[in-house]
Amino acid sequence: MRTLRWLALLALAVPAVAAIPAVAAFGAVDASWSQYQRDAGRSGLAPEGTPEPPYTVSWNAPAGIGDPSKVLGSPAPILTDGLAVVVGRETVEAIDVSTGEQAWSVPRALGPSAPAAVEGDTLVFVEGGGDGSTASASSLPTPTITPSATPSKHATSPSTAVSASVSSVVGMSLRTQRRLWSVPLSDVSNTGVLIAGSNVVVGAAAGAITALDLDGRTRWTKDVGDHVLAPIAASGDLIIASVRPEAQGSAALVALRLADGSQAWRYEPNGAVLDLGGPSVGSDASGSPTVYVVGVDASVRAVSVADGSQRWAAPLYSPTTGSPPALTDDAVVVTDESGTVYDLDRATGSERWRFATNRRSVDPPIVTGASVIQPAADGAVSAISLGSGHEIWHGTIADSGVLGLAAARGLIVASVTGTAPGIVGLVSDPAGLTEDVVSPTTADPRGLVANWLGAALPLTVLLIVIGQALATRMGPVSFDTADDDAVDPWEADLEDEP
Amino acid sequence: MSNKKKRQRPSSYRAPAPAPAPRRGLLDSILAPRAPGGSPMPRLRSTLARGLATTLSIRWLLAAVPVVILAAWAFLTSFGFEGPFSTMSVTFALPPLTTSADPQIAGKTFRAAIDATGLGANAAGLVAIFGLLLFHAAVNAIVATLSVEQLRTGSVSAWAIRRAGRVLRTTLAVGFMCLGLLIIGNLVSFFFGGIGQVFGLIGSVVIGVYLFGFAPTIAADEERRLTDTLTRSVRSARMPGSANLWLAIIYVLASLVSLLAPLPGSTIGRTPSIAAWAVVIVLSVGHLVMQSTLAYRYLAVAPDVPDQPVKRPADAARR
Repeated sequence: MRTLRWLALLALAVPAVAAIPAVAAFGAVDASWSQYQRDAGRSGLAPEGTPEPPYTVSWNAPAGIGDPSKVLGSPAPILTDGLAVVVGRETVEAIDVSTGEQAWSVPRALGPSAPAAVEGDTLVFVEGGGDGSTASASSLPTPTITPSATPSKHATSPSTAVSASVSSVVGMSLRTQRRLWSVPLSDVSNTGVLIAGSNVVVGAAAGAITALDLDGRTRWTKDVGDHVLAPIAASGDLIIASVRPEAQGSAALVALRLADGSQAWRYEPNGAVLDLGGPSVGSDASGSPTVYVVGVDASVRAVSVADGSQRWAAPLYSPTTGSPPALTDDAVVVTDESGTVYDLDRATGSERWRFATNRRSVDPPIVTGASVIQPAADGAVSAISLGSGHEIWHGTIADSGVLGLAAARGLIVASVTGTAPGIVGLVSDPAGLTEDVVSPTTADPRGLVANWLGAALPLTVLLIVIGQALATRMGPVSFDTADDDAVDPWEADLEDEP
Repeated sequence: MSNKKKRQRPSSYRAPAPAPAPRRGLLDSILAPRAPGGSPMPRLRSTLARGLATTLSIRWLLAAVPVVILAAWAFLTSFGFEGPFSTMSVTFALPPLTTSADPQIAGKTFRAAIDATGLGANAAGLVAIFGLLLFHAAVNAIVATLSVEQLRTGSVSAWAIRRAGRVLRTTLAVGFMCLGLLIIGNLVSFFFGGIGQVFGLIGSVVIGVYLFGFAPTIAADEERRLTDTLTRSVRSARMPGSANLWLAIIYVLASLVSLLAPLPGSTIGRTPSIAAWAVVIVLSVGHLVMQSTLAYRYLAVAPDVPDQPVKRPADAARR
């Protein structure tokens, strides 16, 4: 009997012991990716302990992101308290990263997906705005700083007052999923939420930037002109937003003081650059904070946070979609729309390496300790060595776009669209294979000539042979429509005359 | 037969009065259905076959295609171009197809400094576009003279290269006019949105090929002034029932599809694969076939192309 009891205990203990590594891997997820691209600076720098490639899919959880025909905005995930939270089209969903099971789902007024942010127990997200529509020009706010407003409190579902054409900022208890407050904005918001200190900052398409406190009280609203569409970043007591012109003119980078929304500086690049994209902020080697932006004119620019002066500008091969760069201690990592990843020196902008994945990329890379992880619009994820610039792993995790990454100790999560839209958990695969692929942009004269000979010689010979056969079959060309040998009936008649 | 004899024709003969010409619509010369024997222009199928045979008979040209593409690729990559390699398939294309691809190549290769303004922002790109335009004009001139000589004599000689020098001014003028057409097409697409893009961008390329496709052949085959060559090209293209517009539409659409399709070589990289080389060489030969086809079509109808604009019946009645 005692033996049987021991056997029973052993039977229970074995699965428990087997589960320990998984719990250790997933249960230790902390709030270190609490907003878009990890932090207020949008560094995209993964915390220590993030798994390195090769990867394998640990779990796949469905979420209401929408298939490629319906996906709207940027449903990039955030990680907090053992949960991956993603803002879908009409839901906000949390996935338990230790199991891949849905922890909860709350309804959200239809609108562009944009990354949420979390501080303590408060999850802040944006809802409403309709299916991609924008508010009319008449809704443009005046360029004033408005005093505090009182938020509506304790709604449990999207307010029926939420307009289809404007968005609202919503604060929700992460623990109870109860809505704490909701503040309407002046227009559709695509920027996602920035939490800087105790401030919540969101931008609206018509150019208004609104700062709230974590209780939903509006601290100020500032119209910076034209459109604010890209995620906003923060550095110290400044927030930095990219302002996109209507159709002509140049984009601008605007720094506002968190305290009162007053403008600290405004940077406008020379020439007509239609969009500077989302900014990332980090301190360079000298310790002075710098903003990095990737323009649609295929360029990266570094701008001083202190005074808005340009430090350097570097060219890219192709334009970008405006995703913010990822930052390491000494590198700016950017990806253009053709999927070429660049590693630039943060101090000078000089290019260290580039790798052409040749997979169209919309969303920004993240950087682990040794690799750049780049999501692609075809469902692939590539890992490129930070040291060599060679691709060391790639894999397909969805049948359509990978729309954003977030990383934590032992886990990378990705939001994906396609036939099975949702969240995918990636872990290291000890049995997986790595590779060492040199970028196709690296010159290889020997390979160039070999490939050229391999195609040109046989094709030319083949075409010449076909040409000979055709010439024999078709015979020579004759353009003599008036045949000299033919008898002209008129002439024949005349010659017959006596 | 002498002219004197001709004048001795029986005086009693009276040719039957021609039936009144049917009223012509605005686009009759372009879109009218072709009646049997209604046009001296050979049929599309037979001219395409003749164009293929002509191109494949010029061995030097076939051998030059991969060499020219390799040289152009090496030159461009040395200045920073990284592809897609498939854009090289327009090397032997007709303008404005070449003109439409040149800004893409120039923009990625000869780029002005970031933040450059004024002339400095555009100078490098403009110089590069004009350089590429000159290159394509030279290529078109050589291909046209080679095609004409092959069709006229059954072989090619150094004459074609010498003659190409004289044809160059025509192909350059065609290149510039096609550049103008593309600018107009861009304006149309800008002002008229989605449908404007189809008619503006694609339409301008089709119109360029349709109206000026015969010009290099005319310049290679005949001694004419530049303006005369261009107007004769337009007149040849507009010969009723000739199906030239359909030929231009098919050619442009097929070329654009080949440029946009995910064929080998449509990715970024400096070392094209064997498959990419094969695709670009085959597409380039396709462009040569089109040029030879146009050469054959023109030479077949050259005696029938009027030297002066044909007066429409309505115009004649008014006078």
